[in-house]
Amino acid sequence: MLSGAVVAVSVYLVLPTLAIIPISFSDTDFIIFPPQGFSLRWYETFFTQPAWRNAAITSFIVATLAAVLATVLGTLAALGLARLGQRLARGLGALFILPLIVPTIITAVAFYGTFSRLGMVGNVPGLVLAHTILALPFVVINVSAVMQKVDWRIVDAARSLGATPLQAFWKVTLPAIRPGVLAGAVFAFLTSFDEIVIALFISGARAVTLPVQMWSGIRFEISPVVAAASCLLLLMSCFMLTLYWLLRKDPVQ
Amino acid sequence: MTARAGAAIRIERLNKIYGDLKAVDDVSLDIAAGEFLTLLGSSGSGKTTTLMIVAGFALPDSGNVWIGDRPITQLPPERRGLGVVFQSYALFPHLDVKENIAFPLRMRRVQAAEIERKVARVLELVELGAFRDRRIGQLSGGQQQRVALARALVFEPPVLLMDEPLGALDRKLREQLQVEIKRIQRDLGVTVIYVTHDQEEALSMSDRIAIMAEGRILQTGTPDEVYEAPHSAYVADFLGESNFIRGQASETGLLARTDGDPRCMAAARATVAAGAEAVGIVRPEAIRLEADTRGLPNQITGEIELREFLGADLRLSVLTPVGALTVRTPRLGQHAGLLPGARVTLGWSAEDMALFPADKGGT
Repeated sequence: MLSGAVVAVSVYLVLPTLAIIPISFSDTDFIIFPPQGFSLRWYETFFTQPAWRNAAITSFIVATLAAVLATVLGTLAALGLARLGQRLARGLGALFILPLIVPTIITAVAFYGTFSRLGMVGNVPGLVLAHTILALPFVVINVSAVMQKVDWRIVDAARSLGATPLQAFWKVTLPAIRPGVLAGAVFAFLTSFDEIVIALFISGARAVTLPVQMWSGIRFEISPVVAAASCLLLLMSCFMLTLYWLLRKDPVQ
Repeated sequence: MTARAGAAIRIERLNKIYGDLKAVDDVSLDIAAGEFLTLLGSSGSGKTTTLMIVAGFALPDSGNVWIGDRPITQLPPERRGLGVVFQSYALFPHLDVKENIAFPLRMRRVQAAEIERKVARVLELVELGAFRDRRIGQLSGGQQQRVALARALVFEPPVLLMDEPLGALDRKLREQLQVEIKRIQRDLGVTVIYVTHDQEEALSMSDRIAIMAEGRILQTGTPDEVYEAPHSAYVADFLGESNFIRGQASETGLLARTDGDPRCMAAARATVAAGAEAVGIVRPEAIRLEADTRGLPNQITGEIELREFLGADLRLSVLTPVGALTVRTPRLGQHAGLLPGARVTLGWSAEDMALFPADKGGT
């Protein structure tokens, strides 16, 4: 019974995603299901049309920068939280989860109002700052979770063995929390890479990200190039997760 | 590893207060070079805090610590050069055995060839030569603690600090490692401060024991001294088993309380003024049985309530007018046949009973 439920839910989860794949290889000018013909023309369009190519590059740059920023800030925040008293840590911990709970549309409107006054709508730094905030909870949660399992006497041990506080951080603390940091970084990257609500508000005309480009593609063209873009996005997610598994497993086992 | 002299440690009037708790209360200790000193106490006695202050992980509110003639109280841990072994082993999970042990040498920028040599030698010392390339997760608890010991010794510190290092291991392994730690310590001549709550461990390993309670050192001495001549009822109770006989101090000993008239008992060592409430303490193995009690000044009869088999010894619990008394007698001795329900005569000499003020804790 229950295993049947697992299969049913899995199919339900995966099917809509899988439907995209045949459409992306179709030969028609519009999205039709079931798809007809077979061609790679929509992939060709994706890589040759400047609008699509630039959107992909922008997304990649924004996601990379946001992931780096969120990972550094989030890791430091998680380390700091652990040093606070129980009550304070719990209160501040809740604060770090806020971006996950507050409806994105509210965050988006807030960013739009603030950034338009600062001249940060329609450029990469604005998107990076906004996406970093969205991505921060993933880093803080992942790093904090790993920190629960670490025996922090190892830092004392490192100090007693001759490591300065800085050496102890690089040689012992960071390797110990590495799985959490990596997981946080991957989730941060993916959060930014497929984020659309905030991007719709503040990407303007000059910093169009891939999801925004897909959104306009589906509204104005209904061409299967959107399906091709979706497949590439899917590939990207799979690649990042694989990368995470590989990096995580290698050092300790 | 070359034999080298350990350093003397001087701990002078340490105080450490957490909130309104005096974790360490005016603790002073002089430890000779090469000595094995144990801080023994129950949890919350201040033994670990004292050790952490010596290691440099906690700063005292007042007081000083010297290694040799070098004051180290204000130095960060990495500049103290002391070996520390933790109860949780605190090995680096991302490094293998060899790299864990090489860590302190890398911090000291020792040449690669020298590192190889020293790691190989210390691995031999802890008998883990075959485990050089193992991951930490692949080792048993006992092996992990040997790696931790090797790591703390490889840079040849003059002092080794050990915080309940065997606390997480089972009894058999614990006894085996006790012997090994003792052997290594004697071979290297390193000075050891060893923290434990296990009195048997303290008695078997130490040159000297400092018994702590509520942040203070109650008594310091060799294992024989503290066991034979405890300074207080608390120490007598904490170290080994003791019988407590309550009553009033008299000129010659104790007027032990019973349901009827008090019984007069002879005691040799008394720190109580006559007339004051007192407790007389007798070790279970000092109590003689039946015919062996002939000529002893303290004699009392009672009924055997319980007979426990301990291996080498039998433990009898005997109900007497002064309360239940515990007696230990050899399993192969002539009294092994005594069974519950039997009436027996117990006796002990005046030298084997010490008197203490009744208000000084104890059960």
